[in-house]
Order: sequence, then C-alpha cells, then structure tokens
Amino acid sequence: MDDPDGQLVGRAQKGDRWAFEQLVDRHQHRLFTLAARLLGSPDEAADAVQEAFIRAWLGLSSFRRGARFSTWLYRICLNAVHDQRTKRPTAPLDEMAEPVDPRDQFVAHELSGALQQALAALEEEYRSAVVLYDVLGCSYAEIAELTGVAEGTVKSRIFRGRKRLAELLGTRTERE
Amino acid sequence: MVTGTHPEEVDLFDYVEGDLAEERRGELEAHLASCAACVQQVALVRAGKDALRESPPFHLPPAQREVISTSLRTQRRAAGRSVALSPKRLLVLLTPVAAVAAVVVALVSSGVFETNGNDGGSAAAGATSQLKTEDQAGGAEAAAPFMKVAGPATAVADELRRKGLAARVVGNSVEVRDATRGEVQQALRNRRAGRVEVVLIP
Repeated sequence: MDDPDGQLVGRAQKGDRWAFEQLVDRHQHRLFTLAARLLGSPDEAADAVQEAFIRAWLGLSSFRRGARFSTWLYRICLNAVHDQRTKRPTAPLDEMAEPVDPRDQFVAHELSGALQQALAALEEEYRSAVVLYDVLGCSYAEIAELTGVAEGTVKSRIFRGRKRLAELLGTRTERE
Repeated sequence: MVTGTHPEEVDLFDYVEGDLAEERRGELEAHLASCAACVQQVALVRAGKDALRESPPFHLPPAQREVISTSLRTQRRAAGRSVALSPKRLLVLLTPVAAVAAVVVALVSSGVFETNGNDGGSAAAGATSQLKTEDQAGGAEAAAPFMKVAGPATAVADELRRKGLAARVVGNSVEVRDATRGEVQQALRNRRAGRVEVVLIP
C-alpha cells in the first residue's frame, strides 16, 4: 500500500523534526475535526490533538512501515480523546472561557448546534463510526482497524448511528 | 441476506451507499415497494448521512498549531522508546526552560546577538529519565535563536526563501533549515535588529 505520508514519515523516524512538522500541517485539521466532534469542546479537542501529536512524535519508532500513517495517527488521537474524556473537569462547559479566535467562535457555534447535540447523545461506538466514516471519510477497513471490529460491524454501526442521529434531529425539530 | 421478511441492515446500508450488486438491489427494491418500515429506515439513514456530510470541517486554531511546534521543538525521542507526555506535564517540564530563556533574553538587551545553542539545556535535567531536551541531547536541533531582526516574521521568512533558504514562521520566530549562521546573516544583512527570532534547524 502506497502511503502518501511515507517519505516524510521515513525522514521523521530518523529524527527530522521538520518532516514531522509537515506531517502535523497535513493532518492537524482532520485530527481537530475528529476530536472536536467526539468531545464536543474546542478546548478539549485542541488538548487532545496536541497530546496526539506529541505521542506520535515520541512513539514514531514504533510505527511499522507498510501501515498507513494517517490510520496510526487517528488511533493515537482516539486514545487521546478517550483520555481527555476521562479527566473532564466537573465545571459545566458554559463556565469555561470564551474562545477569542474567530475560527474558535465558529467551531464553538457549530459544537453548540443540533447536530453536535445529537452526536453527543449517540453511544460512543456509533458516534465514532459515523464521524470516522461520514465526516472524515475513512474507509470501512480503516475504521475496522481503528476500532478492532469486523467491517460488517462497522457498516452496522454506521447504519444504526445515522438512523439514531436522524431520529434525534427529527425529534428536536418537532419540539421546536 | 434476509432476516424473516426484512433485509438485513447491512444490505440496507449497502443499498443506501450504492454498493449493492444489481440483482440484489432489484430484490431489495421489490421489498421496499411493499414495506413501509424498511422505507422509513432507509429514509432515516439517508437523512443522518446528509446531516453528517453537510457538517463543515474544523480548523485547528493557529495558536494551538504553534503550541504543538513548541512542544515538539523542546523534546526529543529517546532511542527506541515510546514515551507519552501530557500537555500539562509538558508545561511543567518546559517552565524552567522558559524561565532561563526569559533571563537570557533580558540580559541580551537589544540588537543582533549570538548565543551558545547549549545554554539553558541543563535547566530541565532530571525532569524525566526517558526524555531529553534537545539541548541536553547535544544540540542536535538548536532551538535557541541566534539573531533577532526587524519583522514581521512572515516578511523575514519570505526574504530568506527568496534567497534560497528553507524558512518557516513559528509564532514570532522564523526557523531556517539546513543553513549556516553565516548564510542566514548574509541573507538578512540589510535587516535592522528587532524582535523576530531566527532559529537554525540542522
């Protein structure tokens, strides 16, 4: 399998931080989108992404050539998201500082919308499946590798996740 | 393929995705023609798909991107070891280094200056046995700036690139790769002293 990141990964594995910075540039926004959709908070998502890139840099020697770097990176990000969730503060989200970057405000607005509320109400396995497939565009095989289940189970999770999401969005619309 | 009188959900999913073989698709459409429950399921799955696919991608804020660069610049992989460090723990690790850097900057009051790339490296000694700061590791990547010139940083990086050097902006610094101090000094000889830090990356 040809990995578009292969060359940069090879250089980064030899200690070339510049090459790794280019990998960060390539993947930063997708990782942030993944983390933000799974966590529902821009601040927590930014922390998870930072953690993921640090772990990736420090653990680059364990990356197997022949595997796909982006899949490996998503796996690390999913772990960082999981860790972030387990150390959530008890303070409610609306007491946290307001973001000042205009794009932060855009993300914060999106994350307070109906879609995010519906996503947050999904079971974790369905939420991960639909975000990885429909938002990030991962393949069934990638998601199966990332989540440790068969491709048929991945399809089933996407099917159920989408259906439940639509039900939640529909319910909300009817109430408004 | 069929559970009881209804198709399996994986078949319905493949149908929604357009991945069902033609013959099987014909069978399923025949079923849908007389099954309101399955039609409803397909409609919901399509609605969920549309809602997800219309959601916009997010961009990591530039300030966070810079934080990642700073984090990467101040640590180095231990040979053959895989080590994870939380951002908060990293902050604790970086604090003494930042303090020393602040003192160095305060002492070198203004203008173009030169400093040894190993300065300040010992500040983080002993923070962890598995990690080394880059200065401790023998200055393989000298993170300390060796020049401070008038900005903005983007203009400094553009000038360096125009003169054939690989440069990029990181915060208020410009990193220059695979160049000597002499080459960078020559490239920036017409620029006045200022606040933009120039850092060499071997």
